[in-house]
Amino acid sequence: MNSALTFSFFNRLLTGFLSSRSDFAQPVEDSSDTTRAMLRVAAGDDGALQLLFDRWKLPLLSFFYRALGSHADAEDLTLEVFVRLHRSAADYRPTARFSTFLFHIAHNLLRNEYRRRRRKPAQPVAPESFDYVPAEPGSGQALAELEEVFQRALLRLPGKYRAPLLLLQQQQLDYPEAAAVLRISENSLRVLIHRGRRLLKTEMETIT
Amino acid sequence: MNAHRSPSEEEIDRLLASRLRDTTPEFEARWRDLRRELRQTPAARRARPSWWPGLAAAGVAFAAVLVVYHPWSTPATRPEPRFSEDFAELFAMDDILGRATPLLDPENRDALLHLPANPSPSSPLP
Repeated sequence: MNSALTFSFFNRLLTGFLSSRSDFAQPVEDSSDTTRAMLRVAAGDDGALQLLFDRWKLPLLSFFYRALGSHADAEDLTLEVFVRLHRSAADYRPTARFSTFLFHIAHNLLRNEYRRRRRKPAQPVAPESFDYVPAEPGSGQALAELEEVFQRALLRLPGKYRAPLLLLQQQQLDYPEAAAVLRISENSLRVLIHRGRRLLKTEMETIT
Repeated sequence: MNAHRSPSEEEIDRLLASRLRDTTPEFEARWRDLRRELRQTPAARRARPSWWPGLAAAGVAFAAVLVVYHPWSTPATRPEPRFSEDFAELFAMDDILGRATPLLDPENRDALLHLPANPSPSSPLP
């Protein structure tokens, strides 16, 4: 919980610090540890890859789990992101924030997975696995039910709404960054977010 | 959750922002195996295909040929010279004389050609 909060704090801090950047294509001064670690991975530093894994495994797992509803698939895709990261490390240039680069890979994998899977049964995790539900069993029954309804409703949404909602709200990307990851305009992103939230709410009401 | 209660915007925000607390031991074990494999295959810069230098050299040579020969610029056609009919007699004479045997041998002809056209009056007469 503490580590998640600490990560969220620093992620927001970093996002705020870099929010003045408007041109995605221009090189940016990204002073984050992740960018330096990526350059070290390219140089063959094995410890740097572990650093990146420790820093980004939970954001990626959470992103894939919410988008797919399957913990096993979320784990597979998270590991695949790190394989691709390792493979592309030598060609990596910090022309954008590292999180943009990382979630661009993740989103491509997610789209491939959407195309690949016809219908797979959801493999839900215990509600206590999420950071907002109290860890003590039985202490957050209402929240556990809410979690189940939410995840089911999220999976009923068309895929085009899920990734934008998660990138903005779960991963705390700003609009320009999320739009760059999704390769859409900011206006299109705003429309998707607005419709996605409305649909999500409707689905949650329907399920309950 | 109350079965008849609509979720609030704050609840939706909180749910969307939520993340998993931790990974499973199985996942960490898979990562360790994967990391071991990746260690054996160091990140390499994407290799260009082997024909890349040849293709680049051919491109440069082709560009050089284009620059030198300008095949796109057609040379201006030179109009056929047209002469006045007054020269017809002169051309006919030139054709006849062109075939004539020189009256002088080459050494004397060159000497005659280099004689001044207007000899100075101070030159002694033979």
